[in-house]
Amino acid sequence: MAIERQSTWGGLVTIDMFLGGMGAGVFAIAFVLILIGGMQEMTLMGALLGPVLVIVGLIFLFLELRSPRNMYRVLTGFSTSWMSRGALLQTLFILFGLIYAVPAFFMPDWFLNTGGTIVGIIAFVLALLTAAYHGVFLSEARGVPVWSSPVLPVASFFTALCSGLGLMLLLFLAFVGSYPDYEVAAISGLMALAGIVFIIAELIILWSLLSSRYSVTFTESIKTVNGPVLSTIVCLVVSLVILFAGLWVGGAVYMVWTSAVSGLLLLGSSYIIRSAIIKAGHYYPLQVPMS
Amino acid sequence: MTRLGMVINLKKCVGCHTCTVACKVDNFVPPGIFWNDVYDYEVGEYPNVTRSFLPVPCQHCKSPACKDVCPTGATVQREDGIVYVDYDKCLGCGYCEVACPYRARRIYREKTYYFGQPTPYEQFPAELRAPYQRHKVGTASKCTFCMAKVDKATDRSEIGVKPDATPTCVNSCIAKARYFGDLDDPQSEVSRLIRERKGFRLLEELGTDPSVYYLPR
Repeated sequence: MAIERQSTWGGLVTIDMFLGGMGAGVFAIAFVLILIGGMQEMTLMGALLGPVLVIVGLIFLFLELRSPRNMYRVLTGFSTSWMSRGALLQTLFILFGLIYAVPAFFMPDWFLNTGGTIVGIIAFVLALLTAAYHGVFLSEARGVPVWSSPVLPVASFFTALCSGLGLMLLLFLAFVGSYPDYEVAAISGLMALAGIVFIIAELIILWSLLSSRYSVTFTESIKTVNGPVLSTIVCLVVSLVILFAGLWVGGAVYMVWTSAVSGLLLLGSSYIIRSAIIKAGHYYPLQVPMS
Repeated sequence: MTRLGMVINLKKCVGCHTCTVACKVDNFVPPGIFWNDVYDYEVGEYPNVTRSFLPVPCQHCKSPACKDVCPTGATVQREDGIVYVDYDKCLGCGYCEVACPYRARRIYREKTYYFGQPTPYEQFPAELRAPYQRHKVGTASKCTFCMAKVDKATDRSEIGVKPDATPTCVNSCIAKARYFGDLDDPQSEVSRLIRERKGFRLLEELGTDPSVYYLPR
């Protein structure tokens, strides 16, 4: 029998995963930049946008529910269901993320406080878990070979970091004018370096996903999303080249240009790959063994 | 312990879909949803090709993927192995629908009628139906092995033998291709058939431990 694509989840789940991953990624990157210091308004905005994006993503997921009145029961299945665990994880991330980011608008030294740092570390760990969560969530679908691939949580993690960095690069554009050149150069160089690492990691993960031969259904499922996967790889490679060039050439003006293009490419590639993974969700065919 | 299960003889199945329709009628299954799909497939290569059929009800797995993923505890597994949905707890998230490798679950998305307007059959009072037949829009829906009937059995030996204590698809099969009973009882007909006819299960490698066995063609 022919393989059959799942028709349960589509655009809303893709958007939730994209926004949730981006929120977790941008928070994690903002937290590290805050610890290093420099361009404080930009990093603060990144830290605030993280939990806000996860909230927006969850609103899209909420729209997918057919009986949202039973939402209050969502933690009942905590012992076995990754949806329950994810609901708790994301709620805690939103809570700690907001407690970390919001007071900083009123208390300039909040990030330097012991309390602020402890809350930040907890939120950072929750952000990293949220970044990987969407892959784990899909991997529970045992009948869908691409989703149940062990590589998917790692792919989800790096996609989240790439999209978070993409957003951070766009935030960089908005704030770049209000800082001295040496600070801009230091932060942009650091982000470019992180981008190179994340992109290389994501390309390796994508390659290992594409070259896996778990089953015939797996291979056939991957073939159905060849176009989007190729687009993602092109976006990532172009972004990688631009970031390398940015580091090589240097200079504030060039950094602004590379940030804009790389940021957009990273965001685009992250959305495309999330969408492709959902579309590659084909079931194993129900086959009768030939005797 | 009792573990209820089904055996389907693929050699006898003629693909008439009587089980599909009987199930829909008896369980008030809404339009567009099937608790008992029968798939067509081809066997062999040209010029020696035959058409064959594969009935796929819910497999009532011992380790059900749908139950593990359910965030609200709406998927319940009874001691006799029957897996059913508690509509009052279901969130309608669809996680069970994608997790089930047998496509045995469907989300009841919107209220529709078979012929546009509700027929007298569709107006049959919900309070007179078994709880699992009171379908709720926005919840997951699946085969229950007709558990209200099974529960009518006064003695375990009646299950799968007495029509009142046997699932509708088994009763209605024109080719007598289906058998129902206790898989844990080595003396039951289902156990004997599995043993003697080398019964197999679908996608066994996924570790779901299904309770529906098939006898080879």
